[in-house]
Amino acid sequence: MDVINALGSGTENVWAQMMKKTCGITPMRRLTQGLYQTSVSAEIPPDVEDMIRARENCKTNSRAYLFALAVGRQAIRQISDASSDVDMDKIGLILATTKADINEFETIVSGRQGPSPGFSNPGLMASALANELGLAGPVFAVSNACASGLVAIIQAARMIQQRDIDTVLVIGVDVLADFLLSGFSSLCALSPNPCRPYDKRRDGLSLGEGAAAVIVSRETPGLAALGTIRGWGVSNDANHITGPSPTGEGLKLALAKTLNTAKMQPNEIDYINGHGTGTLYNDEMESHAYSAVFGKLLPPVSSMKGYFGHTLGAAGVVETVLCLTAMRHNTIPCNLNFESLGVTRKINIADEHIPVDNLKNIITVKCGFGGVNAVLALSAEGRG
Amino acid sequence: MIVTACGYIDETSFGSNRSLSTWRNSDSGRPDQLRWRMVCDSVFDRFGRLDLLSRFAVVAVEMLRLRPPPPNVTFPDMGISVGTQFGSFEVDVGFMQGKKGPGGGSPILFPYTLPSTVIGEIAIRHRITGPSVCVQAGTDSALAALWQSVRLVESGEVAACIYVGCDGIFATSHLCLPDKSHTQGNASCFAYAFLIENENNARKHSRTPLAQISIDNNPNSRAEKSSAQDSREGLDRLYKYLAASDASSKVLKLTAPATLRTASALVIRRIESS
Repeated sequence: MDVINALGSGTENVWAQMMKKTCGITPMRRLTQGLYQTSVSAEIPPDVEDMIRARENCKTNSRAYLFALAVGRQAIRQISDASSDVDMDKIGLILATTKADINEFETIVSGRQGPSPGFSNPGLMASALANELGLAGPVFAVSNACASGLVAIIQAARMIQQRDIDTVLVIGVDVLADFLLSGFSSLCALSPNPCRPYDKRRDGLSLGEGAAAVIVSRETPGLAALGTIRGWGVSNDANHITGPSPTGEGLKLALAKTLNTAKMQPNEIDYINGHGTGTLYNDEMESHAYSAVFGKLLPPVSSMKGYFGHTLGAAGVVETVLCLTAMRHNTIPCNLNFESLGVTRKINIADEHIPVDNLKNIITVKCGFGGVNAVLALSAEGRG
Repeated sequence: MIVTACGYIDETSFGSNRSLSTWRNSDSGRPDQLRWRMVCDSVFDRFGRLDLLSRFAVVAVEMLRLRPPPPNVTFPDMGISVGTQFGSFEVDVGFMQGKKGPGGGSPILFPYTLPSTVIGEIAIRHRITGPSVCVQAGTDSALAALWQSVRLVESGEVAACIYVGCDGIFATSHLCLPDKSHTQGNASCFAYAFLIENENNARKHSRTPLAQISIDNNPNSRAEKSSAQDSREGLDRLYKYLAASDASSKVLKLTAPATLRTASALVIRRIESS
C-alpha cells in the first residue's frame, strides 16, 4: 500500500506528520487565490511532486496519472518483493476517482491543448495504468462520488469472494482543479479556514488532493497481510442529491449491514474513522447514525480531513491505507482542529491521539453526493 | 437468477418488453431536451432539473414498470448498477462553459458532473436504499456494470438489482472528446435498463420472468474473448433478445468485455411464457 497527499509521500511519512498534528491545509499555491469561497486547500507540495516525477519517469504531464502510477507501482513492488510467485496476468485494477485527470479536461475544453491521452475519462485512465503496470486482470473505474474509494475496495472484495480473481490493485486518485473549487464554491460548501470536523465552529469542508493504493487479495502464502476485510455495507439515502439524510437512515443501514457481514457486535469496534467533512449537515448526519447503531458502546471517532482535506474519490483508499497504518502503530489518530462537540448526538471524538494496546477492529465510513454511503470493517487479524 | 423487465430509450424511440413507442414529438428530432411528458404520463416533478444522462437513465428505468412504493416504504434489498463510458462529460462541458460568466459555476449543474448522480436520481424516484456501483471501463463500461449487477444478486447481497447502461453525448461536448474513435464520429445518447433478481423476489412482487441469466465460468469460453462487443452493441442484443417476439435464438451468450479480461460469459436463456 502507499499514499501521497498534502502531508507528503509514503505511508510512514504521512503517518509521522499526522502524529505531529501537521495540518496540510494551507494557502493555495497552484490555484489562484481570491477566485473561490476559500483561499486554502490541501495541495500535494511541489517538492513532493517534483520528487515523484523524477522517480517515476512518467511520460505524460498528467498529475492525476503520475500520482496514481506512483502509488500503484509502489504497492506492486511491495508484493513482488515479498513473493516471487506474483503473477501480473492475474492481478486486476480498479481505479477510484470522481474526476480522474480533471486538469486535462479543463485544458481541452478551454482549447489550450491538442490531442491528449484521454485521462480525463476514468475508464481510459484505469486501462492505461494497468498497461503501464503490466497487470492483465480485469480493469475498470468506479465513480461513486466521495465514496468511490471504499466502493472500489468493496468491489474488489466482492470479486475475490466470488472467485472471479485472487488479487486486485485498488488505486484512488483525485487532484485539485479550478473546476472543483468553482463547483464546491457554488454550493457554498467550503470553509475559509482548515476544516474542523464535528466541531461546534465547523463551517465547511477543505478540498484536498491525493492518491493511494491498496492490494486486496485472497490469503496468499508468503504474502504478509496488513489487515483483513471483515465486512462491508453500501446503501443509498434515496433522499437528496447533495444533502445527506437528516436522520442518517442510509448510513445506519450501511453500518448495520457491515456489522452483520463482519459478524461483529458494536462493542468489538475499537475505532470509527468517520467521513467527517466539516460541513454542518454531513457531520450531524453521521452523529445520528453512530449514536443509533452503537448507542453507549460507541468507540472513539475521528476524521482525517483536518490533516489533508477531503480527497474526494480517493478518500476511501487514502484513509483505508492510514487506518491500516493506525493498526500497525496501535494508535487512534486525533481529530485535528477539534475543540468542542458541535453535533446534537453525543459522540466520542478523539481530540488527542489515543495509544491502545491492540487496535484490532476499525470501521471506516465514506458518504457522497447522490446519497451513497459506504462502510468497511477492517481487522488486524491475519496480519503478518 | 432471472431478468424480469427491460427498458430502453434512444434518439428515435423508447420501449420495454411490453411495448415500443416512438417520440410523441417526433418532429423535434433528437431529444436534446428530453421532457418527462414525452414518455410518461405519471408525475415526476424532479425530472425538469435533471441532466440529460440522468433523464435518459430515469426514463429507461421507468420502462421497467416498477410498481410505485407505498409511502415510507424503501427497498434496502435492491441495488443499482450503472455503466457509462462518457459519464457526465456533457454536463462537465456545460459547467466549464457556464463558469466563465459572472457568478462562476452553476450549483444546479455541479452535482451532475458526477456520473453516479444517475444512481441517486433512480434511488430517489424508486426509494431504493441498497448498494450501488457506477462503473466506467471505456467501450466495455455497460457490459462491465452488467457483470457487477449479476454478481451482486448472485452473491445474495441484494434480492434485485436495477442495471442501467447509458451514455449521453451531444454535438457540443462531442467536439471536446479527447478520443472520438469510440463514438464513430457521431453524437450518441441511449439508456438501457434491466431488472435482475432472484426468483423468490420476483414471485414476491408478482413479476413474470423473461429469461434466466447466469455467468458461465467455463474456461473454454476464453476462445470467445476476441469477439467482445462494445457496450451498446451488447446491450442492444440483450434488449432485443428479451423484448422481441422473434424466438429464433434460444440462448444468448454475451462474451466477457475486453477490459474485464475474464474467461467468463453471461448466458441468457429466454423463459417462454405459458
